[in-house]
Amino acid sequence: MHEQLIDVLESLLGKGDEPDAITISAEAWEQVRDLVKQVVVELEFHGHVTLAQRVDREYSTVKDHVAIGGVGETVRDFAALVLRDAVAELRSTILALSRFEQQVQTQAEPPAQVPASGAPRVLPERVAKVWQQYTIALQRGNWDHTPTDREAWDWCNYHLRLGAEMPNFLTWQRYLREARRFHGAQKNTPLSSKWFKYRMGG
Amino acid sequence: MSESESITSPLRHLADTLSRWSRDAELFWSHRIEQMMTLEQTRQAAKDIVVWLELHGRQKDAYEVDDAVTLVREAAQEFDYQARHAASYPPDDPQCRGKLERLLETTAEAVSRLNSVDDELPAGTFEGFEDA
Repeated sequence: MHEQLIDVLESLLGKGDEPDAITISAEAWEQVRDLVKQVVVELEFHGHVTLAQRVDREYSTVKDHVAIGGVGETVRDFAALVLRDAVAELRSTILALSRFEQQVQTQAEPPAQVPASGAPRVLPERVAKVWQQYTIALQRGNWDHTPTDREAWDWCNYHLRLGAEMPNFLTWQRYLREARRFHGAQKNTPLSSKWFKYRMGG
Repeated sequence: MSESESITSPLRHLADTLSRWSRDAELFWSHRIEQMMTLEQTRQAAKDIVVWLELHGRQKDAYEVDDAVTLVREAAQEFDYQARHAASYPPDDPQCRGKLERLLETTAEAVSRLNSVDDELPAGTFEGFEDA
């Protein structure tokens, strides 16, 4: 299963002759989705919740970037680089799982590492800062629609004047994604997708 | 940590690789493609460490390693894209120079974060890592 998924992900990456363009076919995407699901179930079965969450998270990142261009469409320019990187990340995680397969199957996940003080899990400071910036942008920006991540970043960049402290968009969006997961505020929840299908008459 | 231990730690090795990679800023102008390829080669080494740490219940450390190397990759992508699409000769392009500066700063910070994680890990964390 790992090998099959690695092969499909490699085929998505292509030969890299055209780094600024990437096309994900519907067939390959379907395969990725099904195989990832199997890997996640297998990890959960062996008690590796954190690793299962990692695979799911990295898959969601790929999915978000695929959604920008759409399955079967060619994603170009910087978006292509970002999508390629997300696919490469997922692929390298599956490769690592394959390398440590024996440990995955024989040893259960130890208790999660918690701060010595026993404090509850908190967002890393960098991620918390980005979440704060995003909420400020939502509250203070003069929006007539929910801003895209790029619009919110542009707003923060211009209005908050953080200079070098402001992460680049790629990093900012990644932290925002982490914060959304933490706060349970994902953009693409199953509910929103059902709602979207309903609105589209699907 | 003794020298022999530091040589066997894959985390220390990754930090050293990144440190050597960013040592000569001129290479980013003269051998940009090779530099990007070298960075790409560290991806798997980093991910093996991240997955290993998660397998051993060190999620916080895994996050730290993952975030540090991802920041380097993101900064490198921005620099590479800017260099490929620069309006003028990349070394003369202020935006390009800015991106490279940020990349070098990010790498230095990543090296320091990786070394800090390595310093704090209990002895024997990577036992069996190389055999897998």
